[in-house]
Amino acid sequence: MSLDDGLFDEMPRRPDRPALPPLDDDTAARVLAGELAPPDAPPGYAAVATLLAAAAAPPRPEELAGEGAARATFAVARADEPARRRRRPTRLAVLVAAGVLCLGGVAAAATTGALPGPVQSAARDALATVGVSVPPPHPASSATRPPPLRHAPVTTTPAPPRVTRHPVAPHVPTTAPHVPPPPRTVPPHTGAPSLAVLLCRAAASGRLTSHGSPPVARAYETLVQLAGGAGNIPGYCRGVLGG
Amino acid sequence: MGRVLGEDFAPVLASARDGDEVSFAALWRELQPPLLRYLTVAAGGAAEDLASETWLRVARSLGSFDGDEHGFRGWVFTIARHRLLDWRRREGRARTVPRPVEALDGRGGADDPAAEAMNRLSTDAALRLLGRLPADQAEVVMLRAVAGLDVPHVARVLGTRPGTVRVLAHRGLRRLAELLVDASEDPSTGVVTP
Repeated sequence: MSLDDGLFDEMPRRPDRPALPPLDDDTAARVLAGELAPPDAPPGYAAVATLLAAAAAPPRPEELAGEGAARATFAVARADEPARRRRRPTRLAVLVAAGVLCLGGVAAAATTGALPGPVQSAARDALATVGVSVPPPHPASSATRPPPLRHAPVTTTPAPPRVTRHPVAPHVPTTAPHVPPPPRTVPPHTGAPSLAVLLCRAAASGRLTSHGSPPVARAYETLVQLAGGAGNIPGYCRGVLGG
Repeated sequence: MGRVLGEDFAPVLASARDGDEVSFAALWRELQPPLLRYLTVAAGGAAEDLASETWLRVARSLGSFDGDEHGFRGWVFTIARHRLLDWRRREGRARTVPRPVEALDGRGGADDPAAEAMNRLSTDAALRLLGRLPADQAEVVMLRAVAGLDVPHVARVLGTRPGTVRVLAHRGLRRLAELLVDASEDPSTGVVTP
């Protein structure tokens, strides 16, 4: 049993508990401000002082891990500013920022190279814009069963040979060379796909283009990568949004 | 979590308002940890999302803020509290179960078991304990002790009167003290049984 298991559930107040001495305003303020070391705290409040010191301890690395995403959010929000003045508020900044933040969710998988090739590539490029280094996709990861995922349970069904980018697949049925590759099938369903949905919505709104501000252009490039080519975006997004 | 920007605050804020990402990041680094802790106590696992929503609003509204560093803190936490209230409405509940944190080992020394146990208290465990306070007391204690806001700023963030903030702070501290005494009374299990 740990100390706090059930500890703070409604318990009958013990009749033999000595009443705590009242705190005056100044002492309460000093306890709250961490100005009283536990030994100097009033009787009964030493543990409170220690608890508050732990609650206000210096930042831990994981609490600052989102800086890259926060900076990207800021950049996109500011880039979107003139458009907001021109017309009704657009949700592009929200969408793109949310997409960037979603990338945070797959960052752990991406940084270990655990994502399938295409997703890994997209994540790598997008995360590069927010200062996160991601290894390139494993050469075989899009043609073979991807390694187990913890953060982005992408389907383990191998992609149909026709959509693979790797010319090494031995059994690719030959298609007419001038036919562009068909859109990718709708990809998997957490992490990156939610990013895909957000990006596709932004693209559908007409404001996600390669001619936008740098953050917008980066978001557009991410969508191009997810779709497997700019020409595939309409079909890809139909699948993402319609399915 | 004291203010580290000090006299650098005004120029940092000014260049962030001009769109400088590096300056914005300096503000973010300063406030994100206490913001996350406040939201963790108030909203458990939703804290990260609420903090992200808060910063998006801050980024878009930065031009409308005018004030000193303390005022900036209050402004950011006010935005965060609005996100929190929206979230509570969406969730249809006033409280949520705090996210799981590591177990607190209550076996302490003989002289002052409560203080000894607290010496080994991690930040996560402390936040979880604070999350067991009544919501209004927890918010006041967090805004005072972790966000570093003074009574008038806390009152503004919470939309209440300074007198109310003082009362809630007293109640919160006393409740914490009682809970911690209870925790220390049975050091063999760390759990008090009636």
